[in-house]
Amino acid sequence: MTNNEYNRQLQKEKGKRITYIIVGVIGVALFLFIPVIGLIIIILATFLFSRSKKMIKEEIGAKIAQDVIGRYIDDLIYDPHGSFDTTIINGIYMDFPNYDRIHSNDLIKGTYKGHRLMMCDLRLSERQTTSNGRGTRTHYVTVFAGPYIAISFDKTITSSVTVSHHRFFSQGNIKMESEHFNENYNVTSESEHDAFYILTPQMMERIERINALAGDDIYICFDHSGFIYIAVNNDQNNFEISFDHDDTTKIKEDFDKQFIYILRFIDELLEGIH
Amino acid sequence: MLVIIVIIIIVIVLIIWAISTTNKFKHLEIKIDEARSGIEVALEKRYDTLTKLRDVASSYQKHETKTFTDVIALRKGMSLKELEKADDQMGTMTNDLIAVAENYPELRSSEVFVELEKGIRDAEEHLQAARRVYNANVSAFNTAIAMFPSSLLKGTRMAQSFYETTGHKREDVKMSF
Repeated sequence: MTNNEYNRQLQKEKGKRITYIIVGVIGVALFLFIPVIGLIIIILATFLFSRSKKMIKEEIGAKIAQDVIGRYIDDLIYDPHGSFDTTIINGIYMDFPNYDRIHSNDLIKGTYKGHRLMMCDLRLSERQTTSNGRGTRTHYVTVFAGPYIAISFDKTITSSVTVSHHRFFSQGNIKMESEHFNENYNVTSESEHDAFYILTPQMMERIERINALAGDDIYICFDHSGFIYIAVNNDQNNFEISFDHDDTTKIKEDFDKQFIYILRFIDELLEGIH
Repeated sequence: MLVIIVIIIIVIVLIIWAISTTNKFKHLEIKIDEARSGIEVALEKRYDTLTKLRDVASSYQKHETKTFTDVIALRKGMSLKELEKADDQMGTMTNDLIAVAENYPELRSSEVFVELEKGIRDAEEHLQAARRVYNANVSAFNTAIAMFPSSLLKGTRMAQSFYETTGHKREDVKMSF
C-alpha cells in the first residue's frame, strides 16, 4: 500500500471514530429520558469505537511496521501476536533479574545482512505478595521490558559467554584483563578461553558503547548454538507503531528511527565479532 | 582465660588466611599452566593451517626462487621463550605466504586458499585469546604475590614472565590476502 492509501484508510477510520463518539453522546442524552435505549446506544458506540481503534492499531499499524521493517530485513515474517519460544528465553542464561511470568509479542523473523534474525518485545514480571493484616494480595512487577533479539553469528565456541551490566549481589566468574570492564560488567562462562576469544578488546569497547546507548541495562549472551541473544531493558514497546501523527510518512519516519535504534545494537555486535 | 581464647581465635584466623592465600597461589599457578597449554594448542592449530597453506602456495610458485623450507619445531613442554620463538617463526612464514599470494591472483582466488586463509585468521584469533588469558592470569598471580600481607607467604614463588609478541605478529590477525 502507498502512503496515500494508508492516509485515506486512517482518515476513514478516524471519521468513523468521530461518528461513534457523537452517537455515544446522543446515547448519554437519551439515557436521561429513555434509559434502556440510551444504554444500548452507549454500549454499541463504545464497542464500535474500540473496534475501530483496534483496527487502526493492529491492521494498519502492522502493515506500516511490516513496510518499514521490510526495508532492512529480508524474508520478513512479522506477526504482531506472535511470541518468542519461552523455552529459549528460559534456557539461555542472560543474568536477568528473577522473574515468574514471560510475555512476548510483535515477533519478527528474517535475515539481516546474511544472518538469521528473530526478535520480539519481551516483558518479564516477578510475582510479589503483600500482606496488610486482613489478607494477602498477589501482584506482578515488571522487572524487564524491551526488545529481545537473537541473531546468528559465525564463530564456533564450546561454552556460552554471558555479559551483563554489573549489579549488586551479582558476580561473573570470568575476569577480563580490563579492570574498568570488570568493574562495570559481569562475564560468565564455563570456558575462560571462549570468553577471551569472543570478548576481544574491540568487542568490549562496542559493548560499552551499546550499553551507554541502552541506558546501562543490557544483557548479552553469545550462545554456543551460534546465536547472539541481546536484551535491552528500555521499558518500551519497540516494534509497535505510534499514531501520534495523522500523516503516514511521519508515522513511518518515527518508526524507522525507532527500528534503526534497535539495529544499532545488532550492528555493533556483528561488526565486533568479525 | 579470655586472653587465651583471643589468642586461639587469632591463631585460627591466621591459619585460615594462610591456607586460603596458599590455595589462591596454587589456583593461580594451575590457571597459568592451563593458559600455557591453551597457547600450545592454539600454536599447533595455527601451525597445521599454515603448513596446509604453505603446501597450496608451493604448488603455485614453481618458478619462484624462494622456497618455504622453514622448519618450525613444535613439541610438548616447550619453554615460554621457545613458544614465543615458534610464534615469531610462524609470523614470518605467514608474511612470506602473503608475499607469494600477492604475485599469484589465481592462488588468492582459489577456494582452498580462501578457506585456509579463514582458518589462519581463526587460529590467530584463538592464539590471541590464549595469549590474553595467559597474561591475565600471570598478572593476577604477580599481583597476588607482590601484595602485602599475602607476599609474606609467597615463599620461593617468583613473578612470572608475560607472553610477549613482536609488533608485526599482532598485525597477523588483520592480514588480508
